[in-house]
Amino acid sequence: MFNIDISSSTPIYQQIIDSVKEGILKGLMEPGEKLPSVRELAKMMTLNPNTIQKAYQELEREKVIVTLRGKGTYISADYKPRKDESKIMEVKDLFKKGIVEAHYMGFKKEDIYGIIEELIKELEGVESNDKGN
Amino acid sequence: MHLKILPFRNILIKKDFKIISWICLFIVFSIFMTMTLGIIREYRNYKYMVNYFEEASKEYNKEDLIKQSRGSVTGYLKHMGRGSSLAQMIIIPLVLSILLFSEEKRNRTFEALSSMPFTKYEIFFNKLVLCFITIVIANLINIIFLFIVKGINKELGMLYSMKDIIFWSIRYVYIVLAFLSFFTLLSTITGTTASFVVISIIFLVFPISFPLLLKLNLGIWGVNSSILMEIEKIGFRYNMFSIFDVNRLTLSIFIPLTIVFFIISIILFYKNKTERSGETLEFEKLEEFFTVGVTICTSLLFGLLSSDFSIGFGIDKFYLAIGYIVGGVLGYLAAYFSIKLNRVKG
Amino acid sequence: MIKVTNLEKSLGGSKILNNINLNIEKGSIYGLIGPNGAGKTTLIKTLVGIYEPEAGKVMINGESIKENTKIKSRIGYVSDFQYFYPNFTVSEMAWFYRNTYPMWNEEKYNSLKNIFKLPNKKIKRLSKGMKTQLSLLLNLSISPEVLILDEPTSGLDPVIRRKVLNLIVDEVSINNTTVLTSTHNLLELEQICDHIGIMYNGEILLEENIDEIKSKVRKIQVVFNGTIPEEIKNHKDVLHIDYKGKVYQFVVNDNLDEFIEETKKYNPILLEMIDMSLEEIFIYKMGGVGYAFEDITL
Repeated sequence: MFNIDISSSTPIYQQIIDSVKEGILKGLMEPGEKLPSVRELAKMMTLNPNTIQKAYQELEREKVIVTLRGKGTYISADYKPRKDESKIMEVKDLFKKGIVEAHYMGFKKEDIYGIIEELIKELEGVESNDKGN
Repeated sequence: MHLKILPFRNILIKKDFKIISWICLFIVFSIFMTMTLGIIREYRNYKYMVNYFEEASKEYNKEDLIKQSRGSVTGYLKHMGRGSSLAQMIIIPLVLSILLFSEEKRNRTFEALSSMPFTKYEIFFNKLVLCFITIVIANLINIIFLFIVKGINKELGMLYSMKDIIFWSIRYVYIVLAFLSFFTLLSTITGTTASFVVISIIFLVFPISFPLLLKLNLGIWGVNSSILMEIEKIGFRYNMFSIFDVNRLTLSIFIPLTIVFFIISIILFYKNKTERSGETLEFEKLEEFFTVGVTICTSLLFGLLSSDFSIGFGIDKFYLAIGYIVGGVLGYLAAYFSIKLNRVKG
Repeated sequence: MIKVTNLEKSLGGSKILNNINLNIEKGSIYGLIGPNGAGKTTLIKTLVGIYEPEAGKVMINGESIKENTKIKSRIGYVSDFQYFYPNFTVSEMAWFYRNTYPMWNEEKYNSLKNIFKLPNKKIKRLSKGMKTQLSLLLNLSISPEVLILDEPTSGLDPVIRRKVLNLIVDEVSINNTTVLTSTHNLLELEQICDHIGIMYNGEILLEENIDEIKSKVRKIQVVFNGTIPEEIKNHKDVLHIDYKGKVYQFVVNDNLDEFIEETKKYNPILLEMIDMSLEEIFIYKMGGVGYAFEDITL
């Protein structure tokens, strides 16, 4: 269901969080859709239930998913990317790091914009015919 | 924590019964072969006598004949230590100890047991209970059999009294339990089945053989002490085999001795360590004692043999010395290597 | 749930366990790893009551395990070699366990029997792999609170191996069982464990949450403008340096951000993160004793 690489340096719980978010973004998972329970997912993927619990807890904290007692875990029906203040700082930081690194590698402003476009298109699943200049 | 005095655990008894079930049959069989058959033999003798008189048309007093045969049987039942029954009363507890203690060490099932929810006391206690039940039931089977026979064959039934049979069985149980306590104790100080059997045999005959060995050796050196005679006599009188002579004195010695042996066994069983299974001796501190003991005994034995060998050659003191040295060295090496080899394996 | 303090144990005159300290939380799956001879089996045997400590304490659920039938009845133990009664059949062993453990679950036993599919032969006629499977079958059926496994997947074919890992994970999911498993297989460990303990020469060298250690120990690839600066070469957080030509790979122990800041001062041509497997993390973290982990197979 999720693409987990146990040998990656990224902790498994983080990979699950990212997978869920990516899945929603790509439209693979709809708001209101039911997610497997911690136990079911652990069994499906032979993963540590504590790890999955950790991922679900974080996703719930970020209001990406919601757990209804006795019913199960669902993708948040009203998941709207919230412009959380601390989250904005986080994202800005991430961008900053990327841009600074790219600059050090000798990338120019246009190159950097080109990369960003490329990535967004990849995530949206639209094939681009344009080539940046 | 409150210590349960009688920690019965059915599952342990049943589990061990599965292991020794064939022995139970063997006990019934051997009691039959020794005690019961003896009575039947006496009956056949009686019948033969009767036939003889009938055929020769001689006069005979049936009452007297019966009394005679009965007297024979009573005497036979009072005597516990004839050849095959003596052997059986020693071999059965020996085999029980092997199966219930030494073998569990050898195939390491004790190791598995020690990770399971049983206390050492429970394990030990239930094994003893099982032995006791087994021996008693085997005797009961025989008693019931003879009781039924009394009802069916009146003539044969006249030759024995149930009271004598029951007392025989009680003595049987007492003797077997005594040997069981002796062997159980030895099983708690040995780590392998092989060393257990060897040490059991050594200690069985030790009270007889060692004083004898000592006396003979000192005899060569010209020491003819009356004290030595006394030691030898005591050795011959007070060893495990004297239990077969059941009287007030032996009972007053062996009953407490049995209890003491069992108590020491359980104490040592507690101190047994899983990691010592497979070693010759359970306790490292005994290894020195064992080595010294074996060295001395083999030395004395070889000294004796070589002095015999040298009779006629004149220089017996020389051969005696060689015998002591060779015996000592061989004994030391035997003891040393029997400990060492098991250590390497373990 | 499982707490070991200052544990020491010698066998045959040599010290096998040297001041072992261990702490395993309830519901955790703890992987114990180390080369042969490190003392894993001795530690495990001391944990379940087969060996008695020379010094130190073993506490499970706050109680000492010595002669403690209450605690032992909730501990499942699968050893590296099974010492069952050789003349008992599989069903007789089950009978023995059934009547020994108060929390034996017959339903669970029956459903597990269908998974393991063992022939009802005498123990002495079973292969090592089958005996391991029997032990797993029995010890899962007793509804354990604590499950202690010594190389449970060695000798098992890949299909059953996967099934076993799955069963362990399921057990923890449903019953919050605490699991300690020793293994040579790092991939397995990485898959199901949340904590890891590295044992070497009778000591626990490292005990860490896997996620944490993965986020701390990182590998970074750098190409400098010129030769490698001395300051970076001798940086306190660098565990290991590898290079091919001008491309350097640094393994950093902790404080990655600090190290990157330092490195950027020298205007590197290239700076990127490289994934590191758990195996690599160990090898570098263990430094001098890393060579001992060559015998750990993937």
